Amino acid sequence: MRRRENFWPVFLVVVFLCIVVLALSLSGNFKFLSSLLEKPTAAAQSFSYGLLQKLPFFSEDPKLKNLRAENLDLLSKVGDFEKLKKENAALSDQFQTSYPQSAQLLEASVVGAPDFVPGISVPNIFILNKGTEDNVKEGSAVVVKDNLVGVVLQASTSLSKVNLVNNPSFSFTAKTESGAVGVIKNTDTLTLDNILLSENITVGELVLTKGDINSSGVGIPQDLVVGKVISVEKNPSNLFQKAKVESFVNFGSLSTVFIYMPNR
Amino acid sequence: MIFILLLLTLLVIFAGAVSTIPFSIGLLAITTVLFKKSWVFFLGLGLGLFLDLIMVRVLGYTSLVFTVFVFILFLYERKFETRTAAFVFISSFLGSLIYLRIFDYQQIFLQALINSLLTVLFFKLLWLKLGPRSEIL
Repeated sequence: MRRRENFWPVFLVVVFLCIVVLALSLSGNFKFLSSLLEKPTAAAQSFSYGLLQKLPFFSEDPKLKNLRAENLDLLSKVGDFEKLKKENAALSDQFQTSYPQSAQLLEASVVGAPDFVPGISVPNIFILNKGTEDNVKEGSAVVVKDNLVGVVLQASTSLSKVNLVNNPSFSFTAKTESGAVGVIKNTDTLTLDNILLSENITVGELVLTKGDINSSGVGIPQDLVVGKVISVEKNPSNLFQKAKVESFVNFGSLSTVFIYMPNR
Repeated sequence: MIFILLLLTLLVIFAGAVSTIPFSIGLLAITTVLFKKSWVFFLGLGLGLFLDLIMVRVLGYTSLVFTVFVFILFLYERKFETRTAAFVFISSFLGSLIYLRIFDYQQIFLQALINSLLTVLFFKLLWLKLGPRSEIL
């Protein structure tokens, strides 16, 4: 009969190693090694994510993808048009540029979508291939065209973790085209909540970010498209009304996004 | 056998990059139950570090969870028979559930169920291939 192996010494050694790595990592003394290790792991991650995107079961029909891109373009134009109407005529003549300006954007590839059960749920976290070495800061907005995708939650040397708009733990202030202000939350669906009952919201209205930039210039700029109102829930006995919002971004098929960096 | 294990590890790595289903827990449960060798702790350490790197977490956190998971399996193995589909299913299900809860993921029951079913499937395939009298085991 084979002797039973004594696992205690190995267990204690491995636990000790884990605690040492954890302590070094928490104290920030592991940055060099982790940045060194991140490169090959990010490459493996990027490869597997790219492979998944190419699978016929997961990848989107090219025709549908083109239509979505066209739709985003048109919506971007609608957003610009609405903004132009509100702005001073002279200023808008002078600065007829798309928003946000491309000089303020850093291109990043999606290398992972960890909180994602293929075929069951949509991703609500992205891992991007840009980190602190590219001056990515926690709290920076991530966009595609002029649509808000999410906000950088955490940034390591060469990777960053993005909390997507549809993540239940993420909320921010937004407004409708008519100026009704509320808070975007995600319960089961994307919802614009806490809107005053006196406000008039119509189905099909665009929902835009209200803007939340800190003193260092990091945050969500105003007037980014969040989505459009698909239904309104208004009950006179409630303090507030709410509206269901549909994002125009198909998070499952995104492979490139842009990080908003105003100080570039 | 080593080839199959390497292939499984690679699959776990690739799956870990695109999904939160903790296939690593399943792989650790299978290797612990089949081999009963202490090198599984190092496999847990390596897989944990890899997951921490790709998920932008604090390094060492996942490894610690995996090490404790393997330790519990070893403790159980001392008293009871563990090379059964029922044990593999329950251990990987509970392990996944705790892992997903610790890291605050969504749809934890569904993910844990998918993971434990796949783990049992792989366990059965390996068990059929190796058999209870295999020299490697």
